[in-house]
Amino acid sequence: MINRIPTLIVLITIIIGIVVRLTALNSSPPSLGFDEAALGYNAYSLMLTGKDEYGNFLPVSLRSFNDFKPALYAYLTIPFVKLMGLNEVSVRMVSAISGIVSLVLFYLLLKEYVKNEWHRAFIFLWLSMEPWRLHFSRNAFETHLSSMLFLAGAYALIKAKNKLWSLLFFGLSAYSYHSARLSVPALIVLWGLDPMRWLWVGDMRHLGQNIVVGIKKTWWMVALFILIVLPVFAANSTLVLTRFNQENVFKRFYPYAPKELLGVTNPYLSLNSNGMYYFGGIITGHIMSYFSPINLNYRIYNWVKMSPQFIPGMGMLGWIEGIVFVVGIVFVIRKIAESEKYRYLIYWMFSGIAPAAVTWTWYHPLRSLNIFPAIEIVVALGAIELIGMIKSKLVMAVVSLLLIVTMVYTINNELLYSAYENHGEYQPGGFREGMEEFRELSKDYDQVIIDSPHAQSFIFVLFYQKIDPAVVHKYANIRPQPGVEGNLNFNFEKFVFRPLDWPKDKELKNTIIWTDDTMSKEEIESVPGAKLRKVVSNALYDTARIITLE
Amino acid sequence: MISLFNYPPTEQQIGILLNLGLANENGLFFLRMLTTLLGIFFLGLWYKVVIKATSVKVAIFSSFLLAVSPSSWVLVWSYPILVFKLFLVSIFLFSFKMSWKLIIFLLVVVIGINTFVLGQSPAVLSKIKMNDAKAEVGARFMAEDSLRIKAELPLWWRRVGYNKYFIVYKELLAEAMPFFDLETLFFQEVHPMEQKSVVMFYWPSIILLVVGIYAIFQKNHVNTVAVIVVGLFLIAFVDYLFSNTVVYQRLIVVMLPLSVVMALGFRELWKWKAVGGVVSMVLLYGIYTNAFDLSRRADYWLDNRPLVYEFWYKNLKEYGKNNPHDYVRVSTLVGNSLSYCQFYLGNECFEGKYEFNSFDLSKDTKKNGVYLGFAGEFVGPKFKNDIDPNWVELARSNGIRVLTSSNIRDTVAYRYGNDIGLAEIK
Repeated sequence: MINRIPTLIVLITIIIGIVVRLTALNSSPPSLGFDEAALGYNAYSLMLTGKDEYGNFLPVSLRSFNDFKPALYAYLTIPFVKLMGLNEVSVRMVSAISGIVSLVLFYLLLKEYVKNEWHRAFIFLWLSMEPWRLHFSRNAFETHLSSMLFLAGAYALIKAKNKLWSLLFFGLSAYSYHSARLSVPALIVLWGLDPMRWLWVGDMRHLGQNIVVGIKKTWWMVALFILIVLPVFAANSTLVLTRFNQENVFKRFYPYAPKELLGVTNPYLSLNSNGMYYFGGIITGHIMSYFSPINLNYRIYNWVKMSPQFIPGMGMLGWIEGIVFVVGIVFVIRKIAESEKYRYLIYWMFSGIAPAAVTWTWYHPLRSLNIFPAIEIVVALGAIELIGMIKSKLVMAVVSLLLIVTMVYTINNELLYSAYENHGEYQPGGFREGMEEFRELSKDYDQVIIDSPHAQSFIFVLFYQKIDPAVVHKYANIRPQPGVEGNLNFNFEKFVFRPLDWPKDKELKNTIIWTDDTMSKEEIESVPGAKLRKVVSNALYDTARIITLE
Repeated sequence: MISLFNYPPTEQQIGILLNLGLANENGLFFLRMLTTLLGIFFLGLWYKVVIKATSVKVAIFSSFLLAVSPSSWVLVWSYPILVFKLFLVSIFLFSFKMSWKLIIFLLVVVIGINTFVLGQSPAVLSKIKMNDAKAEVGARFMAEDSLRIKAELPLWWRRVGYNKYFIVYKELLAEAMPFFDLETLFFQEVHPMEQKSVVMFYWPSIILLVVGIYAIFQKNHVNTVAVIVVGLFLIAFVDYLFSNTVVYQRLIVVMLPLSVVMALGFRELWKWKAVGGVVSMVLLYGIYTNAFDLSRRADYWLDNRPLVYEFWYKNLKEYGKNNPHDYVRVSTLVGNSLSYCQFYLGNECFEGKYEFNSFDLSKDTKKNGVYLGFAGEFVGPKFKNDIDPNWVELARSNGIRVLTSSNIRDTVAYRYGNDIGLAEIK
């Protein structure tokens, strides 16, 4: 019986994992984010017409907010929209299920690195509740789907006899998020060539042989992968690179060296403060930032805080994990010459970091989500080292208790506190609460004015009013062209998106208005024919008003 | 151009000079030379400590890495007590074999210096406050309960995670985490958060660290070097927790074990000559470019408060030569103004005409005399530190004649602006 306890712990962990990921998906987070709404509406459009919101037939990338989202997430969402309707739960289901599958895959990977069953079971229980695992499972993120598929591919790469399995998952991963398109070939090449091993190869002849063997092992995989992802590039040619053009590191930091120290206009010619030195620092820093424990579990950068990837009060990993990671990475480096499986972790992390490292942001978890299973394995190896050092049962008991309480805290934090902190900016409430009534009322009016501070508020109107995609397709040509950022709202049918000019607009007839909550009831109703129909609240405060002008 | 070499004295230096009765420019030069000498002694001892555990090459390179670090230059030039602390650590490491007893003794030494000599209240102790933890628990519950749409979790479950004891544990970990900060240790030259600190190691050194970690576990090192490295990491960690100042000074002890690991890495790296050569070249260029940087804009890296005092008192001295005054009011917004006064003006500061206290001339009753302060003290502070750029004119319209003013790089007195001035009311 006692031998079955580790298996039981694993099963219980998976069950808890399923419950925590699927429970209250409609209310935590309480509102959809812009990208979530876009993925949902495109799934709806694909389901009804076979086309995305712009009328592109079976696209491999969704133009969406001119950011060309890889389309797999939307396709996988279709069955859920069909079954549950277009709502918060159906949109988030793919991410939630990815989280569950990722958990199971992580256990399989853990088996490769942690041989003691008891240790493995407890470490799996502990790491199953990492903040990133919960957060990315409970919001619709294409990157989360991609990371699960990447994990499957990376696991198959070292385990499956038939490497086509690995390629299948890697290929799907590339159709889920941009990062994989660079991470996958990087990982295959690093795994095949195993360049770290070259450091211990005695002579040049052996080195040459190693390289040839590596090339033979990988060339066909890389070629096949390129063939698999070719449609993405072929379909949108340069447009898929739009995002990279907006975000790359090369432009943003030019001239790299401190401007006040540069004596010449060309930073590469400066003797005293050469731009190349600083650029090297920036790129190395970008890479190493993913190994910096403080980034993994404590420090929150501005660009993270201002986006849906923000986990309030915590980093991607729980607090103690950063310190355990240090022990783990020391262990991995120590063993690097001994075994390929430890080098594989390094290759995995580097290839996962590569796409993020060439963007301007220093540390960006969302773009490097593929690395986190590997980081968790490093944490697990660190934990094994520490378990070996701790002799006292009392200390073990205290540590275990603290870890259990941390898991409870993480669940509270994700299900409740995160919902509170993230509500408003990137998950603007109010649309969910008010759009249904607004839709009913709109039927009786000739013109609908929507005055919202959000540059992409149209997507919530499309989503919550379930606007017929065929209608939206008709307006594809008048919508802001690729490359345009900022305000992407567009007018369609009787819907007009613009700021309200009350002194003028109050003269309009047979119009319904959705606007912010700055005007008082008295001010509105002092106009003959004007009526405040509803004060719309989001999960925290009053956010909008529905006004009709007869 | 503000260079490290002409940088004015820090409050720490002023305190020592006053105690020695040498509070003047000559005394400062003497103190700096003395600190440099102490720094050299420290490096010599450190060399001996490392050589006992490894080899001459590693000892030389470890000492070299410490010697070429800008933070060492800054310590030697501005923070003698910290150099003394490093010296003490190294002398004990040199004199005794690394053991638990020595580690505990050194922990007492560093905590003692931080608390009693440097007067820092340990940062870690400030986190063990049940009232703050209780307030955070309350705030969390209130925030979550204010959600109109939310997941329902049982109260007992929420209490398991949200209780003051666990919050204290969380805060303690949060206080400890910046110790594990690669950005501060290796990437200050390109730090993403514009954090006020000094370069500790040049960015190419990170490669040496990674290779060094590999090298340290090779069989011939494990027993000797590892013990010193681990012991020093422990001391550095506790030193970090029990100090409370700018981050690079809190991390200064950790440079010692890191330098050993990197020196091992350097030796290992030279097995691949081309790689070793490239890293060495980039590292040498890093030393040069950072030295150039410190010679041009030391105020970017260092504490700007000494610059404020230098400006005030040097200008006051100059102005006072031809314009005797009966009343001088000196702001105390950024430090011990009396100590600085003694350094620049000597015993004159004890004459009754000096008053050391911050002021707000937009509200206070004005007294005829000379005022040394921040722009916000002359025209009134601003909540967002956005003092009117025409503050000199504004002050003039209020009967205050600004004799001279200057702009400092950093905000050292928030709400009072980055301009400082010397003004007169007649």
